[in-house]
Amino acid sequence: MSIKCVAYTSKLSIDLTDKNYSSEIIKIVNKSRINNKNLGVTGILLFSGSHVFQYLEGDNDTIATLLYRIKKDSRHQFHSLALHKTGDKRLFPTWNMRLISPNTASQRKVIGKICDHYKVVLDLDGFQLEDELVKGTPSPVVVPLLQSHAQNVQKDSQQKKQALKPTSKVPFEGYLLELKSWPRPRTLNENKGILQLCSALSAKPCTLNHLRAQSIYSHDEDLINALNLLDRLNFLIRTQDKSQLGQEPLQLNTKIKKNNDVKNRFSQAIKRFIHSAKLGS
Amino acid sequence: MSAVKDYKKLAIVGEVGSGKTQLISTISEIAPLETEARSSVDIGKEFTTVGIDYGRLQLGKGMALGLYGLPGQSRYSFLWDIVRDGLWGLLILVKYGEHFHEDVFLSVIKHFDIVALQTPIVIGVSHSESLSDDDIDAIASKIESALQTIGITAPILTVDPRKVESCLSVLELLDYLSRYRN
Ligand SMILES: Nc1nc2c(ncn2[C@@H]2O[C@H](COP(=O)(O)OP(=O)(O)OP(=O)(O)O)[C@@H](O)[C@H]2O)c(=O)[nH]1
Ligand SMILES: [Mg+2]
Repeated sequence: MSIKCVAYTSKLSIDLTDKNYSSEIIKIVNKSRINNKNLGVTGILLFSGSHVFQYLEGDNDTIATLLYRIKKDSRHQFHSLALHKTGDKRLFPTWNMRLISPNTASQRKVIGKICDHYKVVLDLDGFQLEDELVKGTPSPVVVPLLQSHAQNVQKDSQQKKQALKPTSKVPFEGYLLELKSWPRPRTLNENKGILQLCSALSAKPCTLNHLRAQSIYSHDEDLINALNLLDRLNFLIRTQDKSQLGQEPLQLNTKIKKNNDVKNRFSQAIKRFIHSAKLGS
Repeated sequence: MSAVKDYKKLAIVGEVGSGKTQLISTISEIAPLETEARSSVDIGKEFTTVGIDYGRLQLGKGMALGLYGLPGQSRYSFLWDIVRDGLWGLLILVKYGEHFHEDVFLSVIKHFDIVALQTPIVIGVSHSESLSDDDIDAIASKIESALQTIGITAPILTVDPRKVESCLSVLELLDYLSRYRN
């Protein structure tokens, strides 16, 4: 079974300046130890001043839920996800939430263990050990997380680009496109682009240019391919665009515009919320 | 706590056991500070006893989304009216494995007048995590033909209200739907 492993840093908004483990920490650790035991979660917890570094491992959905809770917990000012990996074995199988004593040597030891295991340098955003451990017990392969992610994404889209033969003629130009019916759940669950495209098509008849302007896909071929897919599966209605919809005169009713601004603001806020609540961010 | 200027509502409607309470408790904020905001929203105490669930997502400065779990049977339709004002989206949960009550299902959609009001709507099939594609297709086409009788088409997803990511996908889809309206 695969194990999801995450680590994050955060600043606690409760006062932890008391050097002898304030009772607040003990409370947090005891509570999470019991919770984690029930949930099958293992990991470690480090404190430095009011900063926390926590490493958690467990099944994917449990970890997603825990992280969501932590991000929503008003005692935490969530900083960043330092690690997000899938592994096949636990690093701390017997520790339901071990509190590492706040001295540099022990903290360095466990962080070093994590770095070595995942072959990464952890970015301990805001979390400081007494000396300069933070940027890493040098690991055999030094791969800053974000960078490697960005490279992967780039590679993906390059590969995709090569795989797609340029379409000889744009088949949707000059038509109004509309959604006839929604694809099956499986397709929707697995395909964010299709989900977004269908949402746009279900709202009103769209020209190709209108769809392009929504920037659902970063490459035009991807948009055309998605439309082709919908068309082949008979989810699309195409009608000749007689009205030249793309060139209708610009008469912006200011009231409508204002409404849209409010709506966009809300939509942006929802988007931010979802993005920040997701496991991978 | 600053006043919420932009407050919208997500209605989650479904029959007994479809996962309304579960979905709300999965994504709603639990931090104690928010209890004030909760009670400041106009939801009479008597409503909770007949089964309204209430949750809330703080979306940033002055913005929040209220989550309202409402029973599906139309004898509770007086409760549905609580969310009419400021309704952002409608999620109808259908529990897989129970008899699909087409009339009950449709009465919710009709009540909310979603066509005229252009309310984003998503149908979520719950208790569906161990189903084959064929099973899912079967229930989806049942739902789809029910929708066709009132002339609408709406996205049907499988949803697991116990899982954060699954709940977030529903929010994401509702946002897409709402973003592209007029
Ligand atoms: N396996 C599984 N269990 C689920 C799913 N959705 C909900 N449940 C569980 O089913 C039970 C009933 O869910 P509730 O959220 O209480 O249902 P409800 O819609 O609030 O039901 P009422 O309040 O009685 O109308 C809970 O134990 C949920 O955890 C699902 O998709 N899969
Ligand atoms: Mg309930």
